[in-house]
Amino acid sequence: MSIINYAARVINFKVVYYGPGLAGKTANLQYIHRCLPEDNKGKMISLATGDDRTLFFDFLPVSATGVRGFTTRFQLYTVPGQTHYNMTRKLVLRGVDGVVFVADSQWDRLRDAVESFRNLDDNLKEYGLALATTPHVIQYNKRDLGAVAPLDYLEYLLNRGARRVPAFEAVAVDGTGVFDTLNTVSRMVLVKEFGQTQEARA
Amino acid sequence: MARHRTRVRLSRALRVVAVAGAAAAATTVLFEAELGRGLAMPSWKVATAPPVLYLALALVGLRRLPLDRRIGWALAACGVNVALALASAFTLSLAHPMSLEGALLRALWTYLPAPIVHLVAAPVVMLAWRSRLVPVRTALRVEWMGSAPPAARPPDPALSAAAPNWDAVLRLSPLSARTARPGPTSFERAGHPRPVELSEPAQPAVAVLELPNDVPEPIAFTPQPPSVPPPAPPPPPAVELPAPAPRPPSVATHQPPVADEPVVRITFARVAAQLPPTAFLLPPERLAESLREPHVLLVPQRLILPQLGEGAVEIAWTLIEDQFPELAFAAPPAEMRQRLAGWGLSLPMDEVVRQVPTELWRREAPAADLSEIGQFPAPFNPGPPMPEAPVAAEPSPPPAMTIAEPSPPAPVAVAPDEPPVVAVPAPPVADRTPAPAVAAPVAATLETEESEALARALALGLTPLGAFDWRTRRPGGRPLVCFVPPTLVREPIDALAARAAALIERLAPWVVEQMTIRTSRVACVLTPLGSRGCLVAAVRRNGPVAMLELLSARAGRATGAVMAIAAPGVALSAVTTAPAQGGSGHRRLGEAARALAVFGAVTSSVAGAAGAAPGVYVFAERDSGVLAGMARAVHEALVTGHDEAALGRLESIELRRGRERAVVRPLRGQPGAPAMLAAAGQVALAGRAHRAVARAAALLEAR
Repeated sequence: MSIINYAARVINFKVVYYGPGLAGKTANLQYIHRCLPEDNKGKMISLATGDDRTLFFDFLPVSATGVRGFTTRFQLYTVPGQTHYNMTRKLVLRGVDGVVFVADSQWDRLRDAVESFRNLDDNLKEYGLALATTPHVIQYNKRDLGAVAPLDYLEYLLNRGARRVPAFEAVAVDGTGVFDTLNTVSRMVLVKEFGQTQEARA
Repeated sequence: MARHRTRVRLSRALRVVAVAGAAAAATTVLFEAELGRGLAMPSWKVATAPPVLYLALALVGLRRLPLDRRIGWALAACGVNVALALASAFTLSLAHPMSLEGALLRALWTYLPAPIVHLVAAPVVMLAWRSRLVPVRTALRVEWMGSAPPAARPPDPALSAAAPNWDAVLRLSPLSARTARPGPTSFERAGHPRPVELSEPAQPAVAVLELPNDVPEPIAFTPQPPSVPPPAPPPPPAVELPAPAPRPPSVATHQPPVADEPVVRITFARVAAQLPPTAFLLPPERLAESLREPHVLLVPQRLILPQLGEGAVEIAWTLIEDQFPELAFAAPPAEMRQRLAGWGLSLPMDEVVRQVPTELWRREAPAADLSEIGQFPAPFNPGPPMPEAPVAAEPSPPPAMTIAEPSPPAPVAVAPDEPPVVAVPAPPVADRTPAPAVAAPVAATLETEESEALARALALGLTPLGAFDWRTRRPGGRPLVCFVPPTLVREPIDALAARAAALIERLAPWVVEQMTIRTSRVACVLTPLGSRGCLVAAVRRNGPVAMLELLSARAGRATGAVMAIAAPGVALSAVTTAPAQGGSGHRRLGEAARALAVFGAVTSSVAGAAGAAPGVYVFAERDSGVLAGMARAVHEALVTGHDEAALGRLESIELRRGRERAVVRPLRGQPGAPAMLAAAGQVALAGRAHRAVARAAALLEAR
């Protein structure tokens, strides 16, 4: 749920990078943090364990272009992917405007991706949200590795809704597909907030 | 394994004896009942009948075996026939008044029912060794194939289309001869079977077959009409690993199998590592050759399709066990089934997906309407990536944690109410130690930030132990970071920690790496961090103290702190001790010394009380005086003024440096007797040392 500060003409959106552990969510944020100019980004907060597993969440505030007189700010979060941190994932999902589901494309990680996707759906439902109505995209990460599943099978696993959502192949560590993913989900969030349908409703 | 072999041999012997006994008994009973005594046949016919009949039986019934083995079987059957005749002769001679020679003549040919009985019984006896010739299932399948041509097999039973029939899915359908290709097993095969090509695509017969109507829909988050033509049943509520179905008995293989069904061939080498290593007698290579289709496991496609949407496919043991030769098992099949109940084999998904026709699972849902996003330009225009921050060249880098102050507080930032594991700071309270009269505010701020950064870094190391509240203090000018579980009262633990930290500084010449204080209610572990202060962590008395010690030490090292530094020039005050003897006024001292053998070859000595300083029993190989001095320092710092009401009775104080441990324990004894026990030495088993001290203390308190 976006937060609008009319006095400052600032609107804040919350985008959560969701996915199983070690899928590359933090790598996405780290690459975004490295690539954005200093003026457009805040400090990245990351709380990780000694083996680089996200312990709580990563947080990166970024500002984007103005839309209709408002300055847009996107707060990018990741969640800890490990299964026993579901309470944290639920907390991070609170007030979410858009979701990037990051899946590891390797064969032996597909089951985790499916479970995590199902977990995302369940957690959204607890906030009265539905995946079908929440702007979200899917990112198939680690496409540079050898033992990866073909794209059509990944789509079969994760993109089987009534409407196929945008999906991107990515290699987060070198930035491939990272900004395509971010820009698409950001624009989907903007459409939901400022789109013609919304205006017509207003 | 040997037990199973013995069991198999014993079972075989029992069967042979039972059949032979039955044959002999039948012969005797028939003779006694005077049945068939009038029958007659030329003796040459009687003598030649068994070899002729058995040879014919071997030639017809064992067609898949080489000729020499078939002839061998016939000769063996003849031998068994003769042995049965001997057994019958023996029973006849016992049951009827006749000589053994006469009984033998009757059993062999003069009493015709006897050779007939032996003629029938001998092949039955030979069945006990049937697995030596050919596995049971292969034999039965061969037998079935001889009875009816494959074309005459009845078609598949009609499958329910209304709902997925899980029973039908789970039921093991015998694979047809075409898919299973019954062939020789390793027990009979001399040459190597046909090689398996890993890149071999699915067999055409597999790929072109249609999906059975009862294949359940893979689960979908949003139900949609399937693209597969047959009427799709509603998706199951959840795709679960199919429960193992009971394996049909071997005799049930006489049932006509269902029509050819598509199977997925899984290279055995890809899954061999998942098999329980103790479940088979054969090594994996031999096992692979012994499979029904060598080097390949066959999995019906209908079992795979329901799980395909899960990203992983698991097959229960009971669905593949019949592809292994029975004699390869380390235990009887029933026991194997019991042992491996719930065990599943994860199939390599790349092989599975490659062999399942794409049209069975591919969906072509329309793409979401994104036409409106064109009205918004891409919000983010990335520049060239900045180089990653170089890793600080510190000798011992901190854990992979980046803590940065958040920029302006985000309006919708999720404030974690109660993080599940991360330690959270306790509400600030006034430091009990007097603050400096004049303190520079900037310096105080820096010190606070330093302490908090240290606390956050230490908190990461303690996360496996659950939630802690932490508080930093600066008694004596050095940070004291104290982690206490929310379930414990903090103040008395803080007070204990402050006194213990001062004691550690006082004992600096002994180079204390860690101190563990045990009371009857809490255990408190202090880990000196050198110039960075001291880490204190407490748990309940029955909590994971050893784990706390380990993690505290690890957390201290992770912060880069020098764990302990000997204070040069300061020596521990040594106390004069006198050797003690068990019989000279200190009963049970010898028993206590023996109980403390875990500390090494300790000698017992006593330091007498002096003023307020208590007497001390000392058990150590050397430096008894120093140990007695340490015990007195412990008494002064911790025993005197101990808050027993809040923390419980003070049980022991354990000091550690390397593998050397010194344990000091207050004693409750008679007035005038030493009030402290101190033991020290190289200890490999810390828990055992702790118990030994408790036992020694109990002995000395009972003096």
